[in-house]
Amino acid sequence: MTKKTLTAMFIPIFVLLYASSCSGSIPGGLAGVLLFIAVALAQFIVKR
Amino acid sequence: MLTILSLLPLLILLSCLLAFKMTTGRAGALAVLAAILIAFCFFGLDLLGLTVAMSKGMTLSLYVLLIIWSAVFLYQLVYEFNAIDVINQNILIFIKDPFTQFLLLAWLFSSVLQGIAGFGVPVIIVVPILIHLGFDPLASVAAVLLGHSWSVSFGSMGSSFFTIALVTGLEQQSIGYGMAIFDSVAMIMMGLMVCYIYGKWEYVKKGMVYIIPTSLVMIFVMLTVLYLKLVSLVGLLTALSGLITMYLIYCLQEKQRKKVDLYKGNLTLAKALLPYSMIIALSLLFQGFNLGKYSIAFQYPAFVTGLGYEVAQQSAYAKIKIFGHPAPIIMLSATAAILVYKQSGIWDREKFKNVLNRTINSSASTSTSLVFLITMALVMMDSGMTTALALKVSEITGGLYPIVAPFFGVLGSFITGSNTNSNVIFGKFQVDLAAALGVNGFIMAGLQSIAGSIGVSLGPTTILMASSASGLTGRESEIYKIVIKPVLLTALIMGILNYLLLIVFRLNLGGVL
Repeated sequence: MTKKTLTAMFIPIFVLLYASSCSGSIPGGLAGVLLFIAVALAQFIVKR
Repeated sequence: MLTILSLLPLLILLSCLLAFKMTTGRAGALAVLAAILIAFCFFGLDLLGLTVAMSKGMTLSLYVLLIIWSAVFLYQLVYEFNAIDVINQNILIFIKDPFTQFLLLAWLFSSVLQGIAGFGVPVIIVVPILIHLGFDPLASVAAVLLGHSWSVSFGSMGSSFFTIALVTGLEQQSIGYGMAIFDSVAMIMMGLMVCYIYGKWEYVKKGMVYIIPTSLVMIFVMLTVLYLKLVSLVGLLTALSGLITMYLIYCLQEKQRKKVDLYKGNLTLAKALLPYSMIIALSLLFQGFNLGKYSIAFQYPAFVTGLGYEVAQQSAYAKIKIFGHPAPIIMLSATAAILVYKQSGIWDREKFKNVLNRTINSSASTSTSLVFLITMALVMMDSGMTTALALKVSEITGGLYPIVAPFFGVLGSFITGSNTNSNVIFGKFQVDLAAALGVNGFIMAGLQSIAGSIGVSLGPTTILMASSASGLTGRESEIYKIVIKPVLLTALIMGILNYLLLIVFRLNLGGVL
């Protein structure tokens, strides 16, 4: 996994979080938050 | 307990960057994770609140990143096709005196570049030119780092400026006036510092001839451009007016105005400058027509945290005006530059591929760090953590807080290497403190942004960029030693001025000047 791949991951996360914010969807929000946390944690295994 | 928990994400960020020497991306990742955990477990921010706060953070990141991506693309384009070389060479033809060259390049030309691109570009371009001209590398690095630092906040087509307005929710123009007060102090101080670096007090005295009149012109231009609401052009036009003024003073002093032959590489100077002239022209054009209805905005619902902290509904959050946001203007100008390069016969597909690759590579790390830091700030804000922290600091420092305030701005930039990020972290915090003290929030927001601006010269990423551009890798501590004192001195002067304006004179700014 590269830095660019991780950066690109923000696109689906943003869509998920925004859609969940507007609709009030708890499962969608949870998925978005967990994906965001996964990307944050992945910073420590990503190639520089 | 809650105050200590509110501080924890910032302490994690600080210790990861300074003590454990992590990258901003990794430090930001840990800090945002801490903020999410603390907000969820201790500040009663439920899953829906967390979703809204994090989504807002990403929306805000998008707004700022669009400017960064387009500015980096334009810079890479003019660099790859040697247009920047044509601009640089022509400056050197016009100025022969070494001291004037040093001051003009380190204080003003770097600030013009900051007005256009920023993001380390002034350091990367100007430091090698100064060294190439025969100046001491350490002095060159320190002079450029300090010299352009006053222009960071209004520079980069206004990305830091837009951020402080967005995170505080205050009216842009009035924040701009607040910033102008402190930027006037910073520009004079930094000009004098460059002279001091060149030749101690002897050249500080000599430099006054340039610095005082040039600064007066720049302050006038800054206020005029703000009055015209051309906010994304404040940095560029202010520095450009300074560059022209200082050159005119130089011509008057030298009493010579011989006709000189312009340097012409693969482009004429007019063609090399075209994208930048177009940015100015398009910004003016779009400002003249009311095209604000063509925009993209995001909506967010209101919510209340478990601790009773109320977050208002947002009907048009981080509004991106198609004919007003800097990114479309920069991209249109870049397209015009491409057409000119094609017409001049210097277009090369391979070079363009390099431009795209370098833009993507240099933007990836910045983008990730920015998303983490902005999301952390939004989670802290929407959970009430920032407000809790602000109230505690206000309680401890009381009426003396305005003196301490600029050090928060400097700290933010020192931690993250970015004025934008400093504004994200401390912008709302400073305005909340101003409200708690019952003083003007616009002035406090302005102070925060300019303090963050001068603090950029201490940013680890900026220092590393400067050391690599000058061949001083491994001698970063020497750079820090020269740069830190002027920054802290300027911050203290700004703090005292802030105290006088807010507490002694009770100055009120807002809406109109």
